[in-house]
Order: sequence, then structure tokens, then C-alpha cells
Amino acid sequence: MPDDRETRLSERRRFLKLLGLVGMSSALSPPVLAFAQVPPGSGRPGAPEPAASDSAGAQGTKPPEISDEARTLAQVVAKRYGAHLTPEQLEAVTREIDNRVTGGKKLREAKLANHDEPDFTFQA
Amino acid sequence: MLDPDTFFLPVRELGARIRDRRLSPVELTGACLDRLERLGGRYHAVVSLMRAPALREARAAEQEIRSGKYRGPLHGIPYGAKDLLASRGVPTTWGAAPYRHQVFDYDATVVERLREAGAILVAKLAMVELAGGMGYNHADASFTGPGLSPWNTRFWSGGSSSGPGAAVAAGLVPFAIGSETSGSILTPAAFCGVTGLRPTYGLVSRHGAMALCWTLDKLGPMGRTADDCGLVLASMAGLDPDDPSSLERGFAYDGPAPLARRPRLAVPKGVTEKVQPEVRENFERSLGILGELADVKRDVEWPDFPWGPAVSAIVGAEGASAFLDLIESGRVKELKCPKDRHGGYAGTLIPAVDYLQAMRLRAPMKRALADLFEKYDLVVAPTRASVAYPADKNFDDAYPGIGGGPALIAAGNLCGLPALAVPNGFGENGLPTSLSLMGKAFSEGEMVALGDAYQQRSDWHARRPPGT
Repeated sequence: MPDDRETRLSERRRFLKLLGLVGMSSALSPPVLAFAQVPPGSGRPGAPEPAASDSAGAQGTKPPEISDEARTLAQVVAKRYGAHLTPEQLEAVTREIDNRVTGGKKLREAKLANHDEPDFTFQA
Repeated sequence: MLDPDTFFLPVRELGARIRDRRLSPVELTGACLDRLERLGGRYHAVVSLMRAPALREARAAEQEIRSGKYRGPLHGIPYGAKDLLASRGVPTTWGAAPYRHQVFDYDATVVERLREAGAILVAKLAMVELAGGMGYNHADASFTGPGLSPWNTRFWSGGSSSGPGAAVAAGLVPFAIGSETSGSILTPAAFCGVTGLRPTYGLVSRHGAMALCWTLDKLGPMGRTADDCGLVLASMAGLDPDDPSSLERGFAYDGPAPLARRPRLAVPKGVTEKVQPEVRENFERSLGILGELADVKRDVEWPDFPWGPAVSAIVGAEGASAFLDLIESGRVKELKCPKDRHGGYAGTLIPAVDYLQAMRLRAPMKRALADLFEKYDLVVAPTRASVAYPADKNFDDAYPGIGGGPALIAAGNLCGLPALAVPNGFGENGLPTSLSLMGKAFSEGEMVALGDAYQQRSDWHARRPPGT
């Protein structure tokens, strides 16, 4: 019967494998590489109305690969909330993070001037 | 015993009968309570019945009207509220198991205002858990079960205002109050074949409503007709010291204003490219009717912005913050939809910069739509690309290849603009389709007037689901 430490190491290896980080020398990938691997978003996580079905979600379509950036960020979720999540749920969270990374990229691509303020105003 | 047709009459007609003492508020309220009890379970539409307080208020209304004190067209009219509106002493569950025993000791401002107008709250109505903020992807996303369409119970009633949509469609209540962060009034209105009005952000106080997303949440009416929605909105709107986002500007309405001139309608490019064939046919037929009343310009270019990512970042970040305690405690695992049990975790990692980019983009987005509304009075499009989704499938698997073109719902919500959804026909499996009008801020009067004119020339809003 394996001892506690071995069990923990085995669990950790399983977990890192799930995150796709086994063998990585660094927790952070170069952003360019990460963005290069970002697939087109297939959903709109968090939107309270249902997203209209689209071809990306069609039956039989293989889900796009998850970027290294998303897998790296998922480590934070695992560290903070891993106790609440099964490996399958964590994989799903990683995919959601990936969609958000893609969405974030689109937001950052939009042209804004220095004086464009957020659309809320603080009042003293 | 009331004639079953009574339950499908518009509020305006019910109100006139009550005013003229041809209809008793007590009898109508009692009959609605009975229908909610008898039929509500069929659609998973009801969370709590408020029989005792409702009948008490109905008797008081009847007494007042007899004594000559008539408050207006909502006096003595029963209604239902999405179960995210606080109502004193009754559970307010937010559709979610972790909150099923939650009770507030105050009423939401809209509940107070509707009571002042004489309306009678008869039921708290079912909703998607936490108004969908955790990213649900299936109809079965409420502790009360999947909301089902009265037109065909194998299909979803839409979300997140599932109960209000189904209850109005099935004639369980003459009107209901729903909420919309991004589509949650328009979608169930479309899927249930009722009329839904999303007001301008700030027009209606949100005090006492569950917060999902402070900068996007809105409350609005769902009813049989555009005119009914106007009547209800007029009683709800206006400044509330308890909601800093509420505006002094109210909404005055006693009936649809005559169209002063031919409205200019814009049909954005691509809105029917990937929709279901019946949705397209019904939309074209609707444009034919609207063309008698307005100048219709097709293929209008929709401003190019990252509408979807922006609304997603804002809802994700604000929603994760609003429910951080639930997420961090792991109690999200008590939610019904498997996706909701982990959907909030990704939201906790949205960078502040992404959230702020989205919030900064809202100003140029508003300017772009303001420019568009200089040329056109209203935008018109199918409300949804498809009829209601099957209740037993994930949304992504419902209608592969079907899509709606420009993200009008996201755009309208990001810019705080009002919209009106009206039924415009039927599609697959006997399910309703819907037409939406969207206008500039505070254009509810124009939208209701055109919606009413459309409904004067069609009868889709007067159809009744089978078995009701």
C-alpha cells in the first residue's frame, strides 16, 4: 500500500498531467506562443442568455486544443479551488479560461484612446 | 367560474372589466392561483404560490374599487414575479438550491410600486439558477426543474426568466416581471410566444433584485401585448433612492401614441443568413406588415465591435464577484446544471485589465449605436435564430449550424438600450418565433407604439398553447 507522500505525489502527477504541464520547465509560456495556439472561441462563457448554437459547437466537431496560457492560468484555479473540483471539472474550467483568453485578446485588440474612460464614474 | 378565454385577455381589457365591475379581482386572483397550482408544475414555472396574501390584497382591491377609489389599469390584476425579486416573508430562491430557504424582510421596489398601482403578486416564478450567471448550457438549470414551453413541453421555455415566460404564455398570470442581463427577457419571450420589454438601463429600480451584474441588470415586464408591457412599465419606472443607478426620468404611458410619422427601421446585415427557415419566413412576413407602417432599410451595416467578448468579460467578472462567497466556498456544487458547478471559477481569473477594456469600450459602442439611431428610429431583427431548444440537449447541440448574425442582444445590453420582443409566427414543432425591435435609450414609447400597431395587424400574440 503506498504511503501518504507517494499518494500525494501520484495525485500531483495526475493533476499536472491533466493540466498539460508535465515536463514544462517553466510555469509560464512565452505569451506569443500561447496566443499563437489560441483557437477561435466557441462559446460565450458567463452570458446569462443561451449562446446561439453555432458550427463550432456542432456534434462531432473535435474541440479545439487548449492553449498553454490557459493551462498555466488554470494552475491558479487548481491551487485556489482544486479541493472543490474534480479533474473533469478542472479540465472544463481550463477550457473556459481558454475561451476567456481568446475573448480578452479581442478586447485588447480594440482601439481605445488614452482618454477613453471606463463607462462608470466614481463620485466622492 | 370564469370563461377560460378570460385568462388570455390583455391587461387593458381585464382592467376595464374590473373597473366597470364586470370582473371581480377576488375571482380573477383565485382563478389564477388555481391555474398556477394546477398547470404551473407542467412547465416547472412556479416556485411559491402566495395564496393568502394575494387573496387578502384582492379583497382589499375589490373593496377599494367598490368605494370609488380606482387606482388605474393594474388595479386588481394578478401577476407573477421572477424569483429574484425580494418579497417580504416569502422565500426568494434565485432559482438556486443554496438559496432555497432565503427570506427577505422587505419588498423589492418594483413589488412595492406594482402594489401601489393595485397589482396583486400571486406567485414567485421559476428562473434559471442565479439568472444564468454561472454559464449554464442546458435547460435543466434550476432547482425547480427545467422550464418547459407551454407550446410543446419537450422544449425549453427559455432563460433566465423561464417561469415568467411560461406562466404568461399558459395564461396562468396576465403579466409577469422578468429580468435581463443579456437576453433573459427577450429569449423566454421569444421561446414562449409572449411579448417582453427590456427597458433602458436605469429606468426601473433594481433595489431588492438579485444582483448578477450591476452594470447590465434590468427588470422588465412580460405580457400578452406591447400595450400591456407599456402599462406595466409605467407603474415600475422612475427614480428610487435605494438604487443609485435609477433615473429620475420615468415612463408616462396610458396607451400607444399614434405614430407621428413613418418610423425608419433598420434591418442589420446578416440577421437572417443562418436562422431557421421558418424564422426567416416569419421575419419576412413581419417586415411586410411593418413596411405598411414604416420605411424599412435592409442590409444595414452593424458596427464592428467585440460585443460578445465584452459582455462575457463584464458578466463573468461582475458575476464572479457577486457570487464570490458561493464560488470560493465550493457551494456552487449544489447547483443543478453541471456546468454551473464550475462555471464561476474561470470568472475569478478575468484580468482587471480585460474587464476595464470592456467597460472602456462601452462608450465608443454607445456612440456608434447613437450614430446609427440618428439615421434610423428602430432596429428590427428576429429575436432568436431558432425556436426553443430541446429540453434534453445541451444548447450547443440543439440546432447545429444555426446562428443569428450580429450580436444584437449583447450590443443592446452593453449600451443599455431598450428592446421589445413580439411573437410573429410558428416554426418547428409548433414552437413560436419572435421579432425584436430595439431603439435608442428611452425610446420605449416608440417601440411600444410600433409593437402595438404590428399586433393590431396580426394575431400571433393572441394564440393559445394547447391544453391551456
